[in-house]
Amino acid sequence: MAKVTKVLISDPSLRDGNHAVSHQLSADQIAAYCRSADAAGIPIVEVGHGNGLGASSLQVGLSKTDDETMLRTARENLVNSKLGIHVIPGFATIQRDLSRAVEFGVDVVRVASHCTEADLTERHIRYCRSNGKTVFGVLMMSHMISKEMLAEEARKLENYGAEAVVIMDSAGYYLPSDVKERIECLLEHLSIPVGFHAHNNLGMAIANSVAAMESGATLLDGCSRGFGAGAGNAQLEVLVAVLHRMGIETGIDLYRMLDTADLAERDLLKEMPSISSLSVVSGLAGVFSGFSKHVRRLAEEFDLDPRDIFFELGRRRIIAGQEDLIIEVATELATRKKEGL
Amino acid sequence: MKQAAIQLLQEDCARVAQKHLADLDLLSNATLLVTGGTGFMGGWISELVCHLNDHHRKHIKLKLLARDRARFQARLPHLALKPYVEFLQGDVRDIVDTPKDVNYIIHAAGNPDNRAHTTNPMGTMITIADGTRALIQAAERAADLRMILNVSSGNIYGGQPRELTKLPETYSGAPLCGTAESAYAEAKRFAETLMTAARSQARLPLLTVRPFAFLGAYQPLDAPWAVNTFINDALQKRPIRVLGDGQTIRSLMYGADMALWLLVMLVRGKTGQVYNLGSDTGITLEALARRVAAHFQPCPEVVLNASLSRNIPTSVLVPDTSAAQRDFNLKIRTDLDTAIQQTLRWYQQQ
Repeated sequence: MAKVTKVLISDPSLRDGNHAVSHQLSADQIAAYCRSADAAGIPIVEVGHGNGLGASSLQVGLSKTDDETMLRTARENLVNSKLGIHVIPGFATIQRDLSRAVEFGVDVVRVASHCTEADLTERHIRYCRSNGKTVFGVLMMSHMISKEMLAEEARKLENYGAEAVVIMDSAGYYLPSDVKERIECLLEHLSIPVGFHAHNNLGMAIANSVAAMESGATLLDGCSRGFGAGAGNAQLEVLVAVLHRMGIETGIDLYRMLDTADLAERDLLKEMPSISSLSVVSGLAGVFSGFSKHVRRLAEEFDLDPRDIFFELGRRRIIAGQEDLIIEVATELATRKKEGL
Repeated sequence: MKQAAIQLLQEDCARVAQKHLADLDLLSNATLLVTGGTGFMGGWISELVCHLNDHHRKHIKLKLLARDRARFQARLPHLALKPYVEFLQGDVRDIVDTPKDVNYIIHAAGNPDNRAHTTNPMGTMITIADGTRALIQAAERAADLRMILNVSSGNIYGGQPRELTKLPETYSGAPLCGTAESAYAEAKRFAETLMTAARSQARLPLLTVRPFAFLGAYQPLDAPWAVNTFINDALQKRPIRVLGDGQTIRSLMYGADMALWLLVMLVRGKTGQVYNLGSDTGITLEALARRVAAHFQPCPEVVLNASLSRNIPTSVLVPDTSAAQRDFNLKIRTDLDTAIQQTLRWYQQQ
């Protein structure tokens, strides 16, 4: 494998970060962050509801700012950086959501599915390609299947026309050795670039991102101050600094990147992402970090230990989009507790 | 379809067919059945038959078998008006009898779109296998069948080794059977072998062609092939994007040439023969994108996605077509620039 000398950074602070503030980012916040990120030279800035385009709903949370306003605001404030969106077929439809995003001048579409369901992405990827958009395939919760099965799903994305495949450690479960074996396996089976999106539940986000890069990944995701679901993502300004120290080209101005991170802390974050006890548990359980708020609320409501809920969700292999099952699990645990089981 | 677009296709057919009219005499007064009659191959074969009938009095009866009548009427409305064209609505998997007067069959049913194979590999394999089986059993009952041309796939070689500049029919490579992605290629291999078994067991007259890559009318612009993507980008007045470093090598045959080669092979080929079908002139995708761009004013930018590209060996897929050239004197009569130009004109007239 040729040594990676250049990495394409994608910044989902304004998308994954929306999870951390219950999807309440405002247009002013989006505008300010985009201007700063653009000045820093961040190649791709992603915006949207935490679950992507078209996801604002009672089930997974209503956005404060509608998709149209988010897209327009970001577009108006990004000059050099590309505007990216996260699209999960099912939440986002082609006619209602994707076509509008294309009209608003989106540059990069990341079409995502659960790691075993790549075949759901075909029509969305096809639409993006036929409209001349850069499109990446994304496999979420990638720790839930073997590296071989992951490669098989990733090949589907490539066959559909994805120009790169990004795997997400949505639960923050991986250790660097896990990342290494998966990235290497993907590179062996794909002819397109591979990327990695880290979460920090076990404190491994930067280490895992570096492991991905050293294994051949050329796309990395990171959020300012780690602003993302649960324990947060790879902290972007740290990731950029580490990559620069390693001599890896990112095209990002470090000082301005640090300024952007300061802005995020000041203007976007309600609280700094931290590895709470619950985040550690969700990471160990391999459950999507974005469930934390729901779990905490239901634990309180049903007088349960939230850690028990997380481990039970992990045992049932619950994935994002199945938020309604959290209450089912909580109800069952409460019943069992009541019955002394 | 607009008259100008029909006229363009007829001009193409006239141009490629003129040196092979004598070869095609064998089709005179014959009945030709084409499965997959509304696809890219079906469309071009129909255009060529129209030319031969309307301008050279070959009196060929053409029967197009396909599942979707609405698609036939939408894609080939001008053919629906021809007295010698009959649309047979049905699925080849359900065919029991061929038309009783059939003399020639081109079995072109099958979807070459790899996205469909990826999503439904089981369905892909079963459809190809069942369709071929049904057609063979129906053909056994045909009274005056002279030849079946089975359209296989260049994918059955399982890729082109680097030491070969062109893939000959004798190359014995095969798709990997340990991956679902081989579903289409493996099913086509199975269909070839099934046809060969029928030739041996039932003495069916049969030849096989292995198609590679094409361009021209009747291909959807969102088809997952590089040239369609390039043309689509240029028609939409945006930069032409080439994935990777653009050094992948493919070759392209124009639809009219393809139809001519198919008909000549059908009537002049001998049972048991196998021929590659395509152009033997390779071109890198970057060069192809630039050739497409050169047909537009202002000339669109060609953008290589090289910053993300990986250092992987260049993929080459170019057929050796010397056997078809030797046996039938077939040549590429539409050079690449003419093919691009005619394709663009056709799309623009839609």
